[in-house]
Amino acid sequence: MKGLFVIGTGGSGKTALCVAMAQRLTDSGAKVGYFKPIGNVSGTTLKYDRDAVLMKELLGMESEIECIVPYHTSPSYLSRYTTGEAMLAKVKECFQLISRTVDYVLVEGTTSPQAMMALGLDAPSLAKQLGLPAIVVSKGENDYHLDETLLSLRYIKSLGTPLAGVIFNNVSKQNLDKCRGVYAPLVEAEGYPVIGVIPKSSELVAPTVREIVEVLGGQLLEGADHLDHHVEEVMIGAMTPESALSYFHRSINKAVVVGGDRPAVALAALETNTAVLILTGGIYPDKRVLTRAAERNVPVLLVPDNTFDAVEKLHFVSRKFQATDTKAIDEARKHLEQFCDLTAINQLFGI
Amino acid sequence: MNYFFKPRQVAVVGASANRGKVGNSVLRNIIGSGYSGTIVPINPSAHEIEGLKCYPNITEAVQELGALDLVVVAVPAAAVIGVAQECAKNGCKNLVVITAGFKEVGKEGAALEKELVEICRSHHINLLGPNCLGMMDTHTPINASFAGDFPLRGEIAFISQSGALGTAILNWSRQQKIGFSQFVSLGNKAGLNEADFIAAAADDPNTKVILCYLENVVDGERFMDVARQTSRRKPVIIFKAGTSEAGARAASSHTGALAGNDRTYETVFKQCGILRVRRMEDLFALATVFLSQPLPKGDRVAILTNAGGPGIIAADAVESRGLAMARFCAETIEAMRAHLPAEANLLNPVDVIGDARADRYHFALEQIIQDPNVDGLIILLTPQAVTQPKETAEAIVDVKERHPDKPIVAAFMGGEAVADGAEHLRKNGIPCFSFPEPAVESFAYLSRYTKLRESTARQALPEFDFDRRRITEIIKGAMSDHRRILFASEGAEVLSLMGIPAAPTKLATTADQAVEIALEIGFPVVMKLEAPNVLHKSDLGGVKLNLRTEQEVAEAYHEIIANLHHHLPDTVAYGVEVQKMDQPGRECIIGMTCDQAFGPLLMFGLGGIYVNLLQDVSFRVVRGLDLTELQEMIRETKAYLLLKGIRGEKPGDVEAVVDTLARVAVLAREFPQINEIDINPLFVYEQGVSAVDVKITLRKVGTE
Repeated sequence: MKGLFVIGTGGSGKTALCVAMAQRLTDSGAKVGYFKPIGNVSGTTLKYDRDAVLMKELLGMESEIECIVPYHTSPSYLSRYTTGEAMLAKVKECFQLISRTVDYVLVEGTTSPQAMMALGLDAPSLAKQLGLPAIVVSKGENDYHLDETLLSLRYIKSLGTPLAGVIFNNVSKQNLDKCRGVYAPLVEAEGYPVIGVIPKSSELVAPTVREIVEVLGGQLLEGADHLDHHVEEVMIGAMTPESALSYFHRSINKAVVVGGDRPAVALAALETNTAVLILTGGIYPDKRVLTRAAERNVPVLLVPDNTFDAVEKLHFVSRKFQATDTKAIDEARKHLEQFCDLTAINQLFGI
Repeated sequence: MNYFFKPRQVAVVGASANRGKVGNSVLRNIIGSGYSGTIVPINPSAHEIEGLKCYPNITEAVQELGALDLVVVAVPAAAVIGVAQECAKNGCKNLVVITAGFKEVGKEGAALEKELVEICRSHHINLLGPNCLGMMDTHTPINASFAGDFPLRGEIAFISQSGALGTAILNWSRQQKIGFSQFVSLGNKAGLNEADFIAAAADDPNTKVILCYLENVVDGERFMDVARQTSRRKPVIIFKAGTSEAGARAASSHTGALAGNDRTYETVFKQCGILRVRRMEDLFALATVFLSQPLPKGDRVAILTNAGGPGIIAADAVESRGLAMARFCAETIEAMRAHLPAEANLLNPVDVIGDARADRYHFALEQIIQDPNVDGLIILLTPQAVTQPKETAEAIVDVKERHPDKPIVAAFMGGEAVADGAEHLRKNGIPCFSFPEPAVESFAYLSRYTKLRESTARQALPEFDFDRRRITEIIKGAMSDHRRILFASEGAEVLSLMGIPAAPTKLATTADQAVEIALEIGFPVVMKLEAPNVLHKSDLGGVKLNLRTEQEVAEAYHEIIANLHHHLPDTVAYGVEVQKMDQPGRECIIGMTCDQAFGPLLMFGLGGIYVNLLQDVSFRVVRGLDLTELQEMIRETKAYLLLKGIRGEKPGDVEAVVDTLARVAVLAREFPQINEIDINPLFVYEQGVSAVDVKITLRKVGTE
């Protein structure tokens, strides 16, 4: 059994990388397992870490979900857990169970490299305890991200955990050059290779209309068949109908939030590339709006909130893909293969 | 549309024997209109309706009669598709769907309408409606509508987007003795729309004037083409509703489509030679004037009055409407001086004073109408002690008959005292108003139409050579980046590729690169932040001007990035644009926006930061645009006066501005992916121009 511990901050795309690596390994005929010693529950409706649920399904793992993700963390984890020793033992036990039946295990760290350090359960320590080499996934969007990465590297080095290298992931196009030209040399100066610099992809990052509907709630008036569109931007329909059209044309794949009593603005939004129309104030729209939305295949969501509150809630929507998102999974894999040093990755798994 | 208005057979599907049902009204209206072709009621459960043989369906009717030129449908919405399919199978080419319950009622209706349109399109069936009143032709004659009032026979075609408004007008027209040649209620405009009926009216020998009530235009480009051609043959007068925001909203929900910007309609109408009226009643008043009066040779108006006040009012109106007060020949003045009282005013406006009887009007009129400097007359009358309204009207009619080549409009002011006279004028083809201004206004329309007909041959925009491949590449690059706004540097490159001088601009992603660029294009430079979704760069310290050294450039780079982090910590900049700082010139703006219906719309005006405040701008639709129109659009603005030079300034290069406008128009026409262009300011020099700040936004075309 070979394994790899993926360490990184939330939003750096650890899960997408795990998915991509798992796909490559399974395609080569190997049996792959996934393990997330410390999970994280984001919504209120979920009981288990979403990533763990996804990977269990995706890899067809027979292990119990309680074994794949034995613990969950939270900002007040110390109120629940007081000592780490028993927990560590349980983690090791679960890891053994999962490793027993597979050729490779991908282990994913929780929301940040230092989370649960107080109990000695931070990702770098766990990697060392499980005897796995680690890779660090970093966002690389600004210089502070680099500093965080360096801090993790030096900590990992001080622990003596074997470190395979760093992947900069989800890098916006405008920062790619800086990542390659400035950040990568600084990482390499620490003695670790940069295995890849992967650009941001809206397929992987932008939430779908479905995810928005889940967070906002409300009533879906139209377009139940078109919830898989990705939403890259949010626009608010607060302008005059005359200026609305040219304003809306400036963005694509957008959610337009507008009062239900402004049909002219809503109609303008429907003439442009809109992924979802969110009507606020609980005001049922003019039927022409619904007719046009149906013609344009645009979902219409009616929410009781006012426009400000609806937009605030949209901040909490994030992309979480599901086992059925074959397009996203393919895209993650394509990115890995296109932008990473595959030989280095293969070496990690002894291929 | 050969047999649309002149069918040899007309079928009424859903014909009914029950008075009060639409299917019965339509049938009786056709019978009552004196239609001489074959009338075919269709209803599976009747043998005879209103004394006519009834057929169970279209197929059997066609088998027996050979053909059905026109099919009018008044069955419930759900049954309409079946009727349309039957029409398609039996080769019926003209379909009027009166039935409501389509797109105007929501999603299911919209689906039904789509299906109906599809059948008609694939079988080349002319479809009027659905959800309409029907149509009429008084010369055929046929009243294929459920409106009971069949109008008087006349020469006005009236095309109405509102059915109810149509019934009101038809009823009113009978009282006003206004006749129509054709009447069409457009309904949902699913098949035939305003452009089709304007084109049909243009070809109809019985129609002399075309009137429209419109809330929106469906196919903007075809509308413009048809209107341009038609307006040179016959006057097209349009009342466009939905000009206010609330009105536009109502119109949007009325038609289920965006009503569009009123300014765009104003521009389109002007460019296509359409006469636009702002009041519903003007629509018919003007139609009457156009029908009864010859077109004036020019815009010189003579005013004849028996009272000073109305004369002054009319003269003011003449000036404000852009007409000219005629200046009489010496002979005219002398002739009048010999016979008119000494107190009379012999210069235009001619005041024959309060004690003028019909003979004095007659005499003055005779002199004025023969004056070669007079293109038309406005005759005013107020009832005073000895005034003879009826006899004066007779005198006017007499002069008019002997000099039919010059238009005359009258305003007989007053009530009962002048009613006889006014009636006599109207009966004899002289428009008579109650007050001077509408009389002048109607003359202004006659004069404007004359100019339109006389305007010289069109001069197409010149062809330009440009690197289509490279421009497409820039646009595609931005699109694949998920950007809808081109970088300033890309915008400048696109303009340069179109042959428009633009200040050299390049994007730097590091301070060192900024310095390199500055050295390459030369100091002084301007630097501007380039970051996603930052609309007002200067508000967050994203613009630095007049940078003269390498140090200043490097420092400006760092400052701009720091300012961005301060205001928007999560935004990652693309970089900073470094631009050659041009010599200031006179500041103009050139813009382009895409209208949903009419395509690219070009704008010119006074530039700088006060554009929105001063609103000194003019517009033209790019479709069919010619060079003369470009020159006109510049002349319409105050910016033109600025360009010509005020207080001793040397004139700016207006030719270069025309050239830039033409190139922007071609850019917009050739690249539909461009949604907006904003060049503000465009520096205009004594020789040449420079596009200093360029913003180009994109849109997806095709799948959108």
